[in-house]
Amino acid sequence: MMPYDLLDVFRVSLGFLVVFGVVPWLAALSSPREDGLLAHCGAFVRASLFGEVAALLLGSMRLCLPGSMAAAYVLFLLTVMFRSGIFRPLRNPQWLRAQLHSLIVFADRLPSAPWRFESAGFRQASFRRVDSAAPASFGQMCLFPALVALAACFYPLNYVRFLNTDTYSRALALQKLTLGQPSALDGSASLLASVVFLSGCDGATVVRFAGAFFTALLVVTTFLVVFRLTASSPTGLTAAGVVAALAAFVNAGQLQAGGMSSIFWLLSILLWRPSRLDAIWSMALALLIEPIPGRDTILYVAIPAAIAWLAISSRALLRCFEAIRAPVALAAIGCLIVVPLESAGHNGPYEYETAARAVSRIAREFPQNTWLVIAPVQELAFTYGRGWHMQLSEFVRRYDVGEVSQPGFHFPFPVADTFVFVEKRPLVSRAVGSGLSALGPRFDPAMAPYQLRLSRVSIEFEAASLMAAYRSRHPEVRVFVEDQNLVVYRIPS
Amino acid sequence: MTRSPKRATTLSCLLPPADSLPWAPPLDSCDVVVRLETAGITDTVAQREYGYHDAWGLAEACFSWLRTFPASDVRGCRQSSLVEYWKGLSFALPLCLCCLAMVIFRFSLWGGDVSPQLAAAVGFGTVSSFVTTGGVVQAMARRGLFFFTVHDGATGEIVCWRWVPLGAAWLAICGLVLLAPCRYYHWLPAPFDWIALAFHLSLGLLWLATGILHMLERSLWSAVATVAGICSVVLFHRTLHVPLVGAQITGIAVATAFAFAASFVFLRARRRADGGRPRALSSALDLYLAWPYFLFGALYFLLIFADRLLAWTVPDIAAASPVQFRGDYETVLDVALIAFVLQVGGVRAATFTFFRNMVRSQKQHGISARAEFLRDMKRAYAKNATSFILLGAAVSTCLYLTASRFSTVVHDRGGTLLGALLGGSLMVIGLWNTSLLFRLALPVDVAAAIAPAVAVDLLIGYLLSRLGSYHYAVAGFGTGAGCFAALTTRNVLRRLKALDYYYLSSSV
Repeated sequence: MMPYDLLDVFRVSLGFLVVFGVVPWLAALSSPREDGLLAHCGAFVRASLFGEVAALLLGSMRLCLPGSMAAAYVLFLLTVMFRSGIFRPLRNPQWLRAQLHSLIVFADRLPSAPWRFESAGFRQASFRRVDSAAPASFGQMCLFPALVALAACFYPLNYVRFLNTDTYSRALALQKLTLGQPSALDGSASLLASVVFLSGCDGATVVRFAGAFFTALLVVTTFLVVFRLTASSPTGLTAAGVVAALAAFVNAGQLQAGGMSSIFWLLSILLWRPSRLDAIWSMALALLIEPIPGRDTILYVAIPAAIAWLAISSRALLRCFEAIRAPVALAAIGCLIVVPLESAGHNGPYEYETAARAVSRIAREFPQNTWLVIAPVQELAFTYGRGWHMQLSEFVRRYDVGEVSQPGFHFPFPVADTFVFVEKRPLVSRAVGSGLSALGPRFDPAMAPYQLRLSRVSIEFEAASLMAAYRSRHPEVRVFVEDQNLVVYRIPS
Repeated sequence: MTRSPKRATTLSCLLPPADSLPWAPPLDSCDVVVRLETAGITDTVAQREYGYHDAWGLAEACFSWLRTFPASDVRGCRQSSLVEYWKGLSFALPLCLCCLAMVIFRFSLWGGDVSPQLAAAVGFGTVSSFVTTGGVVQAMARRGLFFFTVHDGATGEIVCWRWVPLGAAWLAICGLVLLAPCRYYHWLPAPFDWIALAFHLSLGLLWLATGILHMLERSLWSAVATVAGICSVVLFHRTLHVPLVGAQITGIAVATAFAFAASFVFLRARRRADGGRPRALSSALDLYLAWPYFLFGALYFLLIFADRLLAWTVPDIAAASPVQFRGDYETVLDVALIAFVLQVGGVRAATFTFFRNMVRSQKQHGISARAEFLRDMKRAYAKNATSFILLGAAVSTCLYLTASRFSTVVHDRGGTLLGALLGGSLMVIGLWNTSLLFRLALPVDVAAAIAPAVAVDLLIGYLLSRLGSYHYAVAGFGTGAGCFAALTTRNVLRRLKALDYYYLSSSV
C-alpha cells in the first residue's frame, strides 16, 4: 500500500459520496414522502437513474464531459427544487427585498457580528434528516457497510491489477466515455462517469475502488430490504453478511455489472409498496446496467429474498438469525479481506502485479502523452488518455532482430520515452489456456494472443530478443523495473 | 463692477460645468432659485450656510454675478467630442505599449516566446485576474467617482483605499479557490499552476492600481507604469539573465508599485484641492450601491474571456494537459481586439454627446413639451446606435480584409475572425447602452442583461466547441455579445419612454 493509493481511495470515495450521497440527499430534501428513509432510497434511485441516462445520452454524442455533466446535474437539482416549491419565495419581490435588507443590516453590523450561519435555508434543510429510529439498529446498519467497504478496499489498496476481464474492459470504456471518445455504451461504466469527474482520477482507478463501495451499497440495500420484509434487524444483518460473503467469493469483493444491477433490483422490491414509480425507475436502471440479468444478479437478489422468506415462515429461524448475525457479519468481513488475496495470489490471472504497478507509476510520474507503453492489451486500460499504448504483438510483428540490431536503427516513436514490457517468465494462470477451445466464453480477439500459452510465450520471446539486440547497439536503454518475472525497458528518445 | 455673493466658491452647482457641457446664464432670479433648489440649497441652507434671509435673497445676489459668465457654445462642445474619443481610447495605451514591446523585444509584461504549457498558465492567470478584479474596480470607481463629482476628494480617497485591500483580499481568496481544483484535477502540471497563481495575483494588483488611475482620468500615468514594468522586465531578463517568467512577475510588481504611488499622489492632490474632511462611510450603503457594478464588472470580463476558456479546455486526447493554449485562436482574437478598441473609444464620446444633447433638448423644450423631448432623445439614440453599427461594420471590414491579406493564420481562420469581429461590435453597442444606463443610475438593468448573456455565451460556446472544433467557441462570444446588446438596448428603449424622470432621479 502506497501513499498515493490512499490518496486515490480518498478521491474516489469523495466523488462516490457526492454522486451517490449528497446529490440524492439534496433531491430527497424536496421529496414530500413521510418516511425519511424511503424518501432517501427513492431519491437515490432517481438521482442514479438521472446520472446514468445523462451519461449514456451525452456519451452517445461524445459529450460526456465535466462541463456538460455538471450542467446536467445542476439542471436536475434545480428542477427538483423548483417542483418542491423551494424557489417560490424568489417570485415575491417583497421577500427578496427583505433578504437584501437583512444582508445590508448584517453588513452594517459586520465588525461586531458573530459569524453564525443559521440562515433560514440552513434551518429548513436540517430538519429533514434520516429518521434514525426507523430501522431499530441504525448504528449497525451504518457500521457494517462501513466495515464492508474498508474490507473490500483491502485488495485494491494492495494490488493494482484487476481480477476480472470485465473490469479491464469497463475501465477502458469508462475512460473513453469521460474523454469524449467513441466507445460502446456500457451502463455499468456510465454510472461512474460523474465519479471520474469529481474524483479527478482516471477510469481504471475509479473502477478499481468503486467495486468495493458498491459492495457496501449492496450490503446496505440487502439489510434494508430484508428488514422491511421481516421487521427483524438481526435477519437483515444476517442476509447482508451472507451477501457480503457471496460478493467475496463470486466477485472477489469487487462488484461487477451484475452486482451493481442487483442493488437496484433490491431497491425496486423495497420501493414497490411505497412508490410504484420509483420501483419502476429502479428496475429500469438495473436493466440499463445489465440488460440481461446473469448468474450473479440472480444470486444477489435471490439469497436475501430466500432469507427473508425463511425468517417470515419460521419463528425458530428468526431466533437462529439473531444468534448468528454477529458471526456471519464478522466472517463476511474476513472473507472480503482474505478471499480476494487468496484467489488472486501474487500474480495473474491476466497480468503480473509488477506490470500493473509499473504502468501505473509511468502514468503518474511522466508528463501526459510524452510516453509510449509497449505491452499486452491489459495495460491499455491504465494508459488510455494519459499516454500512448502499442500492442506487444504488433511490436514483434513490425520489427525483426536483424533490423533493430543495425547500428543506425532507432525506433521511430514520436515520444520522449518508450517503455517495453517483456515477461522473463511468460505468465501462467487460469486465464491463460492451452488452445482456443480452452478459453471457451473468455475468448476475446484482442486478448487472444496473450491468453494462449504458446502464443504468449512466442510473443514474449520475440520481444526479449528484439530488446536484447537493440540494447546491444544502444547503451542509453535502461531497465526501468525488473523482478524475477518481468523486465520493463526504458528507451529515451 | 459686479459683486459676487458671500462664499461664492462653494456655489459650484451654479457655475458652468467643468466638462464643457452646454451652459446658459440664468434668465432671471427665479431661474437661479430653481437651480439652487435643485442643488439642495433651501431657505434654511441659504440662511445657515450663506447668511441670507432665504433662497430668494441668495438668488438675487447670485443673478448679476452669474450673468458675467459666458454661455458654453455648441462649437466648443463639438470639438470636445474628438477629445472624448481619444480619452476613450486612452485606456488601451498600456495595451499598445505591450504590443510594441512584443514587437521589439519578443516579450512584454506577460507573454512572449514561451512553451505551450507556460502560455496556458500565463493565460489562465491573466484571465482569472481580470475576472476577479473587474467587479472590484467597477465598484471602487463608481463609489469613488460619486464623491469626486460632488467635490468631496477626502471621502473619495478614503473610498479608494478602502476598496484596494478588499480587492487584494478578494483576489487572494479567488486565487486560492482556483488553485485548489487546479491542483486536485491536474488542470496544469506543477509548477505551472503556481506560475498561474503568481500572474493572477500580480496582474490583479496591477489592475486595481490602474483602475484608480483610470478613474482619476490619468491614463497616461497608467501607460508610464506599464513602461516602467516593461523596462524592468528587459533589465532583469536581458541584463541580469533572470528567467522570463520571474522577470515578468518582477516587472508587473514594479508597474503595480509605480501605479499605486501615482494613485496615492493624485488622490492626495484631489483631496487637497477639494478640501474638507472625509465623511463617515457605511459598509451597508457601499454594499447596497455597489453590488450591481461589482456583478457587472466580474461578468463583463467573463463574457469577454469565456470563449477563450472554453477553447483552451476542449478535450484533446493527445494533449499534454487538460488546459491547452490555442495560439492560432489567440492570434485571431488579438486581431479582433484592435477593432474592438477602436470602436470602444467611441462609447465615451457618444455618451458625452448624448447627455449634452439631452441637457440642450431639455432646455429647449418646456415641461409641457415632454413628448417632443422624448422623441428628440429617441432620435438621438437611434442616430448614435446607427453610427456605432456603421463604425463597427467599417472598422471590421477594413481589419478583416487587411489581416486576411497579410496573415496566413488569420486567412485560414477567416470564420473565427468574422465571429470575433461581430462579437466585438455587438459588445460595443452593449457597452454604449451600459454607459447610458449607468449615467441614469440604473445599474441593475445592466446586471440583469449581462448575466443571461454570459449564460448564453457559455452554453453556445461549450456545445459548439465540444461538438465541433475549439474555433467554434467564438460563436458563443458572438451570441453572448448579441444577447447583451439586445437586452441592454431593450432596457434603454424602455427607459427612453420616461427619460426625463430617470434623468432627474439620477441627478438628485
